[in-house]
Amino acid sequence: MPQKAVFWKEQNALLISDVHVGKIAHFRREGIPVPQEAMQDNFQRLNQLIDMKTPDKLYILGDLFHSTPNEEWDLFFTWLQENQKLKVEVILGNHDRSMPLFSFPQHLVMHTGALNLNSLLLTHDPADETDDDSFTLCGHIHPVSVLRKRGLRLRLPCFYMRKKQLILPGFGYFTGGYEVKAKPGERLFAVAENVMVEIK
Amino acid sequence: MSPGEIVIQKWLQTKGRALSDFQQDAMQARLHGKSCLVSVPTGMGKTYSALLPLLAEYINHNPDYKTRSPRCLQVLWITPLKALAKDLRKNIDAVLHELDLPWKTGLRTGDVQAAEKALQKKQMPEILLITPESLHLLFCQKDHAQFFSELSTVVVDEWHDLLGNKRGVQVELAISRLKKLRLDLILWGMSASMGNTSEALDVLVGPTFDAEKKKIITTRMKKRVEVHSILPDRIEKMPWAGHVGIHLCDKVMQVVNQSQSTLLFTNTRAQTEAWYRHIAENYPEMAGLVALHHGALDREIREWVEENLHTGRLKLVICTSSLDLGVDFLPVETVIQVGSPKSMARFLQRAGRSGHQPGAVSRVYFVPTHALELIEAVSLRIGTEENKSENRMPVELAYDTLLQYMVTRALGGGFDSVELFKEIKETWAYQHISEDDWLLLLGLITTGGATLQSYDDFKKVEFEDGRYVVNSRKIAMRHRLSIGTIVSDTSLKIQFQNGKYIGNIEEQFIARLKPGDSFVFAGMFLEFIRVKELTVFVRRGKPGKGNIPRWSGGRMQLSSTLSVYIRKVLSEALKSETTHPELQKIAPLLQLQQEISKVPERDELLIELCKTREGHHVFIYPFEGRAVHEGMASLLAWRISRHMEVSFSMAMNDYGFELLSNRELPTGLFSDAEGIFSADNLLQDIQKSLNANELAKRKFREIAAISGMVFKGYPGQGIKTKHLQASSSLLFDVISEYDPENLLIKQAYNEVLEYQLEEQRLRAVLMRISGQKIRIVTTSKPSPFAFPIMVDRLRDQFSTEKLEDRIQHMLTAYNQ
Repeated sequence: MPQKAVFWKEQNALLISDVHVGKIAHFRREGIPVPQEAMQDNFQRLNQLIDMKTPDKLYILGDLFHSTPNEEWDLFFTWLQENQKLKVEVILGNHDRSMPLFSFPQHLVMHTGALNLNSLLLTHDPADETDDDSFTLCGHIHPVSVLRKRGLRLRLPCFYMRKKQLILPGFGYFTGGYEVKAKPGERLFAVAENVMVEIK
Repeated sequence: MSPGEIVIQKWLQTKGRALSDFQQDAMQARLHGKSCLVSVPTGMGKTYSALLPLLAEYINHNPDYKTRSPRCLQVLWITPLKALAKDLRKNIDAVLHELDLPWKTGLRTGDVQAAEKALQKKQMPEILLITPESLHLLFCQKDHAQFFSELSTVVVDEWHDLLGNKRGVQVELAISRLKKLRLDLILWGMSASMGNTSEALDVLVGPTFDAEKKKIITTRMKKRVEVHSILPDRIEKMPWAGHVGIHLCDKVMQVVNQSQSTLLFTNTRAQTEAWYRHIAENYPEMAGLVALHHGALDREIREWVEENLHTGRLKLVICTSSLDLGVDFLPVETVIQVGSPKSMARFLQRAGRSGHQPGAVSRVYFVPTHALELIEAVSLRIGTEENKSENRMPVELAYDTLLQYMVTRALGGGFDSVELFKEIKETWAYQHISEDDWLLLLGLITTGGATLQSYDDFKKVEFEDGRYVVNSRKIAMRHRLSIGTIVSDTSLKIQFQNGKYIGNIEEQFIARLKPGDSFVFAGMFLEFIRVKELTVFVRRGKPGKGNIPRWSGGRMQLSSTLSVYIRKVLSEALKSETTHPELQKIAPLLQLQQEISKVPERDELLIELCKTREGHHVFIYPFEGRAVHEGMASLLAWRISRHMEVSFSMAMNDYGFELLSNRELPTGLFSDAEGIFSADNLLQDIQKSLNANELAKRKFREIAAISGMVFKGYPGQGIKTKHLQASSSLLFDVISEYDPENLLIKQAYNEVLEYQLEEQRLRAVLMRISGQKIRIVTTSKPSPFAFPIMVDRLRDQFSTEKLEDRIQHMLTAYNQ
């Protein structure tokens, strides 16, 4: 989906990755004046997605949080309370180290390792070991594709389809990206405004 | 005559000298308590005009000056370059010694060891030479006021150089602080020739300074500058389009051989490397006598070159503007300028590097890199005779620099908001700042936003007992490490495998190389081994072929002063018998231009239309420099595209620009000065015609770094600058979306308009055109004027689509 999410019809589930809740507040704590209003962006977009698809489940492929707890985390807790019907499953990522120390409501489940769902494997880091048969969905690297044309540069978040892997773009608003280029046999789908286009 | 003057006069007499006219004026002004701007050409004794008067004043008040020293800071001497500071110190020490004055001098720059700085803290020398950045670092100390308890004078060296950028603003802010600490402080600016000296003085002392207490000091002596051109034997041998000028190397070497030491100035680092290579390969007798000097080389290498210039061991040094500023290299007899220096002031500054003694003649040889530059040679000569220099425009309302200063003051003992606002209102740069903007800035460092923020953990500057202070040690440390206004480009270090560091190179160039490829750097052939983190490892390569890296660094702009001369010389070139050898040389080419098209008069704008296999070309020649032409080309393309569906390719050089399209344009479009050349709605049109958002984002990188929004990293373990680039553009996007009124975002757009597109100048050019006759000539083939533009073509696709369409368009293009 151009909303930087994957919708899994059979399971009626949404999958997103790398939300980095808390990054803006973290920057502000370090004295960098990122506008406070920008913290709402992630939740607004999440709500739009939920309105659109009314999923039963939300899978978050790691890096739900950034840094240590701060008031932006509280926004997430509030958001959780407002969405009690949604079952949220989180695969812990490298940024989520302090997350297990907290108690979350019942409808949020944490997984410290990969999650295997009928030959579909959900992990955080694309480099994590997988068994040979299953197809993996993961995040971590925030793939972006850079289009260059006569001095104009355009950076677009993208879905990176590899042989047995689909890497999701970072969902978080205030997150950067890592430029990727498709190797033979791989495909890139960029997200621009409200469309998704394959980059060839 | 006062006792101090007598001491100085006697000392000068022992050296067989006396005060020159402007030094005498400076002496009188100082003894009458005036603050001055001394504006005289390079190499006429400026340093003495600051030093001797202040010493005379001191001696007048301290008859026992030989036996007692104040043991306390008397003079702050601000200089833009670290290298300059060392040199100055030597000169000042010599004078103090000969006058038997037991004063000490000290250096405080980024290079000075911490131990020496600690000693200075215990006891300040009487004269402290300091860079603007180091002075601001001093202000970060809580007890900084004590250092200045007896400060009498602030000397600002090379004010013309500092004035036009944010470092000048730093100096203004520092002076506003010191004026508060010492009410009768004397301010002393020194500058090379410039157009707007009285404005420069006002910027230095502040707009509210007592008119009776300030003075401009100039000289009636003329610096003799001889301008020669190195001409090819036949004009046919001159390339029509830009080149590095090496075809004239043999003749250049004849000039080099005639003088003891020569500086050869080029405009780019790549050109320096090319010239060095060529000479090293073709003139074996120069081995060990020629060296090169540019900003990307390691400091050690540069210092070695400077040292050997001093001693006269080097016969030729090939350099860029890295050697423009005032270090004296006495053995230098001759200066050679390759290609257009783009401005009168730069040319005169460089010319002044030779004959750097009062009374000596400066000799400068101009090497044209293409035929039309012969016109520039004559322009430079006339400009030199008329002693014309450009204006230096001071920077105004740089919010980033002010934010940095506010945190500096919060660190250095804290500040009262009302007091500090009053203080900075007295600087030129912030005289027009509104109270609302001040409160917005205060908000950015205290609550982290413009609007009243709900409570959060934002921490930078805190309000305590009526003062704004910094409590966090982490914030304090980061701030001290990032003081300054110079933001370096993304560059990689070049190192030999044994660890020897030789300089910097741009990532883009290295990205194109494969291991085993060789390139030329610091005059050596280097073989690329690998890149590890931010370091490029190399080994000596085999001599032979190697690419020369390009450093993107800002292209220099053709100044409007020089542009006026060029148009004048050109219009008169074919009219009368000329005494300038360059014009005799170029005459055949101009006659060809006249035959095919026309040589424009001063009150004419020449437009050529031409059809080739490539399409329909329109060439327009305002002679205003590349940047203005770039803005104008985009503007015209955009305006034309509103009349008809057409898309253009654009190309430009310093003389004119080209619009190339696949459709024939009606000539009527151009004949009406009120139409596409109109200055109405310029601001809106230019913003629509260019990708202003993208340009502003690039400017924001520097602004974010200066205002402390991105951190360059701790020394030795810095985050990659690549990271900084990414996060500054990310910040730009977030802030533009959620806080569009943010002052720093506004500043980024302003800087694009003011400095990059030179909106003011573009407007002036359009106004000029509206009063000119427009000459439209249809040519059968590209004229001699058009040819270099076509060759130099930097394609810039212009399309009239909206951004989203453009995204879609680009994507489809990629999909096909």
